[in-house]
Parts: sequence; C-alpha cells; structure tokens
Amino acid sequence: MTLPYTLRLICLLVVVTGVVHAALQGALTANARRVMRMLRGWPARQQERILLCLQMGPPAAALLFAGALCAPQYLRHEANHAAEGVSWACVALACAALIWFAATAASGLRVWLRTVRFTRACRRSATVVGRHAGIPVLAVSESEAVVALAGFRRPAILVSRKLLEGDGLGEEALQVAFEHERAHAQHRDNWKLLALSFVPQLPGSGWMQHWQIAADCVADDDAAQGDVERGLLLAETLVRVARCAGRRGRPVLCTALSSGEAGLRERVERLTGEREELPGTRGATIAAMMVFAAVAIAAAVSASPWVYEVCERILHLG
Amino acid sequence: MDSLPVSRLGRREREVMQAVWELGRASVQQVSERLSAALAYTTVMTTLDRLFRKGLLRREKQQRAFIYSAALTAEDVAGQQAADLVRRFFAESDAQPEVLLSCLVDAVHGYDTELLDQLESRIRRARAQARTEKERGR
Repeated sequence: MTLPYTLRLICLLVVVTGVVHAALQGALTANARRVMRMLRGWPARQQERILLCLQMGPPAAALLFAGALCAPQYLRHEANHAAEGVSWACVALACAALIWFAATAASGLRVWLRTVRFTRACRRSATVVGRHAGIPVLAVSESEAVVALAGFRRPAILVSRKLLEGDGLGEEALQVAFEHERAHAQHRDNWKLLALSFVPQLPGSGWMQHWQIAADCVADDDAAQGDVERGLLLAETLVRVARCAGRRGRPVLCTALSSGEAGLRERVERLTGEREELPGTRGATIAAMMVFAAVAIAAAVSASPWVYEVCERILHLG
Repeated sequence: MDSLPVSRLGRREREVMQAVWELGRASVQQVSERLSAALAYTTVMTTLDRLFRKGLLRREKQQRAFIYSAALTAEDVAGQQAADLVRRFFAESDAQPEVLLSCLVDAVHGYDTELLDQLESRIRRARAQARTEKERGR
C-alpha cells in the first residue's frame, strides 16, 4: 500500500505506541502474581501508588518511545518525502491499534458522561442530609445498601436511605464510613479511576482491581486513624453493608464503601490486625523506581542509533 | 438544529439534497434532470416538499414554480449526523438515583454468606482480644 510521508509517519507512531504498550502490559500481566507477592505486606499507600504507576506506566512509556525517540529519528533520517509503499501487515497493525485505542476512549468517555449525568441527577433529586468535612451527604432511595463517593470536581457522598433509618448504621458507624469516603475524595480516587478507564487494557490483567483494593485500604487506614476500635467498627460496617448489597451492573464510576469478596476479606483482615505491614519502605520504593527509570532511559538512548532501522522494518513488515 | 432529522434521511432524500447542493438554486425540473435514476416529476416534487418541511431546504415562488435552495450546507449535515450518532451512542443512560452504585472495576457485589459469617466472627474475636489487652493495660 502506498502512503504519503505524513500518513507513513502517523502509521508508524500508532503501530509503535500500540506494540510497546501491549508488550509492556503483557509483560506486567504475565508477572502479576510475582509483583503482587512482592508488594504483599507493603504499606497500603505505597502499594496504591505503585499499582497506579504500573498501569499508567505502559501507555506513558509507549507514548514517550513513539514521540521522543521514533518520531525524531524518522523525521531526521527519512530522505524520501514522496509517497512510498508500506506493508499491509503494518497497516493492519495500525488499524488494530487505532481500534483498540478508540474503543477504550469511547468506553471511558461513555462511563464519564454517565457518571456526570448520574451525579447531577442525584444532586437534583436526592435529599441533602448534611455535610461531612465539607462534602455534601445525599440520601438516595436505593433499595440496597450503598455508601459511595460520586463525582469528580464536586464529589458527593451518597448513602442509601435505609442505612440512615431504623435499624440502619449507627451514628458512629456512619461517621467512620463517611470518613472512608472523605479519604477517597482527598486522594482524588475518582479522578484516578477515570484516568485508568482511558488506559487500554489487555483482557485478564486484573490490575485495576488490585489498585482499587489498595486504594480502599488507604481510605480504611485514614478512616481508622490508627485507632483499633475505629478500625474494628469500620470492619463491622463493611460486613454489614456487604450483607445488604445486591448483585447488579456497574453503570457509573465511583468509589463505593464495599468492594468485591477478595477486597473485603483483605480489608477486614487488615482492620482486625491479621495482616501485618512492613515498616515504611518509601526510600526503597523511590530507589527502585529511579533505577527502573534509569535503566529504561539508558536502554532507549543506547537503542537510538537503531531506531530508524527498526522503524523502516516496521513499515515494511513481512 | 437538534430537531432536524438529518440522520434519518433516506437514500432518495440524500440524493435530492446532493443535487440541490450541486445546483445551488433549482426548480423541480432541474433537480429531476440531475438525478441518476429517472424519477417521476411528482416523486421529485414530493421529496423536495418533504425536505422543505424538515427544514433542510428553503424555497421561493417564482412565477408558478418553486425554486429550492439548501438551508444547510453539506458540512452542516455531515456534522449533525456525526453529532446525532454520538448522542445516540451516549443516550443509553442509567442516570437515576435509584440505580445501584458500584465501581467500574470488577467488584462483584454479591457476597458469599459463609464468607461474611467468617469475617464477622473474626471481628468479634479481634474485639474480644482488644478488650482483654485494654483490661490488662489497666
């Protein structure tokens, strides 16, 4: 297939971005168990940060590789500015990558719009029952038990009316649940969820779920404030809310108090003190990340003389 | 603009619109001569009238015939068709407060009762242990 210079460059960049992203994510997915074993026992905050970086890393690295290495090398060395033949395999790869990116973007956009509409609908029709640390608490007529933080710029805590009334949660339990949601708001977890929903994922990667459990653990720690009694109260609240929760779809993006079974077990075990954490290893984490970044940069720089040749091979695959 | 049904134009309507865009201003006769398939004069007249009623064409009477011109450019129509497509794509919304909130991630909100019982007994044990340690501390 003959493509003009600009289209050839675009095709190349799309293929490189897609391939590097898929390769990095594939490598991470293949080593998921090992990584999670390594992270076990680390402080929740560090786990959350590392899991977020592991998900944002592949697309960032792929974009950097394509934009900062391939594009300049191709622009510098490609002498033929006229139309040139490109292999069908390369065009097919570019189309596949484009479809993958576009489908993810459309799905992310869709869930974002739904969430915005949903939060607006809640703000319009739900009753404001108070504020917790400046965040409005809205009572929703939900048949099942829900405590969740919804919204991005102006988040609100949504709570089922049934949890506020009669034999619902007591005042202390509600306070600790709201504190958990406040922590999510403080750490901007809904924004992170939104960003992650725009990252193309390989099937079965499971990183999103690992990250969500870690983010919930961080919010649990903030809500418990190091107090054993508060921790146990939160654990009780989690189980109580889980008992009333039903199985339904997931129409919007928000951070709910109750998570999946694996997450619930892990969180309760942490709050009851059955899982011990290693003392803070912030220095080690930063050092490990810096070493990783340095290795990646060194690899990229050392590979730069061959990048143009690789680009040409990609364009004429097969 | 939202009410203009541009995304629901039939094949013949699109063809007639195309002819009007190409001609600029045209009578029924001129449009019918421009079309690829030979259509009856009355069919073209009805189609032009329908497009006028949809707000896609303007018309003015000259002597005893109507002269039609486009109310929207081809780009406007293409843009609106794309917008309609996007709107339909995002139209499916569960934006009701009654809808259960759950996460985007695969957090399944159907719990095994046995697991919940186990977790509750763990919490009870931890509470008892905390109480004992507190009493010992006194």
